[in-house]
Amino acid sequence: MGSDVAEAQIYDLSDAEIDVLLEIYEVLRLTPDNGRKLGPTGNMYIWGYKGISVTYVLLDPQREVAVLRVDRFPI
Amino acid sequence: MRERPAVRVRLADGREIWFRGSADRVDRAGTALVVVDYKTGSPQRSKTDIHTNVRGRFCSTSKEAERKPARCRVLSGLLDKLGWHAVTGRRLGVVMTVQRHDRPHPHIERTFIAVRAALPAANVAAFDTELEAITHAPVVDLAALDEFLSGWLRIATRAAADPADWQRMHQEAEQLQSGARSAGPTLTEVLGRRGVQL
Repeated sequence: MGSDVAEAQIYDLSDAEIDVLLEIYEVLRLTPDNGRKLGPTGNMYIWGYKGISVTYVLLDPQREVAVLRVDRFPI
Repeated sequence: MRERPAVRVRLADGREIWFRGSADRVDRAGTALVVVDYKTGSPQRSKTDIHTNVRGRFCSTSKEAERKPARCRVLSGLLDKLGWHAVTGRRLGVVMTVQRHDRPHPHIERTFIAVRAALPAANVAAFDTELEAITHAPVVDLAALDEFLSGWLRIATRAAADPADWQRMHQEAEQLQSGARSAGPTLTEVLGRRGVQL
């Protein structure tokens, strides 16, 4: 985890939303750099699926995903 | 574009079709023009419906062009005649058919211009880069373009809802990447505390 905020957000998710997060997590473990890049430099991405978006940093060189935010879609 | 004379499109079999129409809206997004056709009537049920509608009106993939060659040629020819492809020296034309949504509180309009304008400065370059990659393809993938706009609208809306947190998140990312900040517990550990066992 890359932020305490994300940890608090996960605690706030419903069971159904946790299931979605697990699906996203599985994808991120396999293809972490397929998310939508948020900046021209750096490795900050966002991945949205079924009403949940995960913002994360892909840490080099270990290619570890550090989750920054877990948001519900705002719209 | 209203009140323009009809455009003649000659089909491969020699027949001719005359078109006259008007665009509901034309957006400029970077070097691309996006022609939007608002639909009236009952709302579409899902994004899939919208994609189907979009693809039905223009060839978004080469595979589709093989499947519906006549329709694609007609529409491509029509766009050519209307001059919608001639944008900054490149051949590019996009027609999108979308449902007008009367959202109660639309904070950011779902247009390329509005979404881009609403983005924090740190994210605009990424928006431009991704849009350019989509629109520079030999055949523009309209489904990808639609998903692009939806995704970035969510990002812009999320960022605008709490700009301070959005900025703080970027600072956290920089600190993590520079090593000034260490990653905390793993997602597996956090989910475990939440009572979820992986």
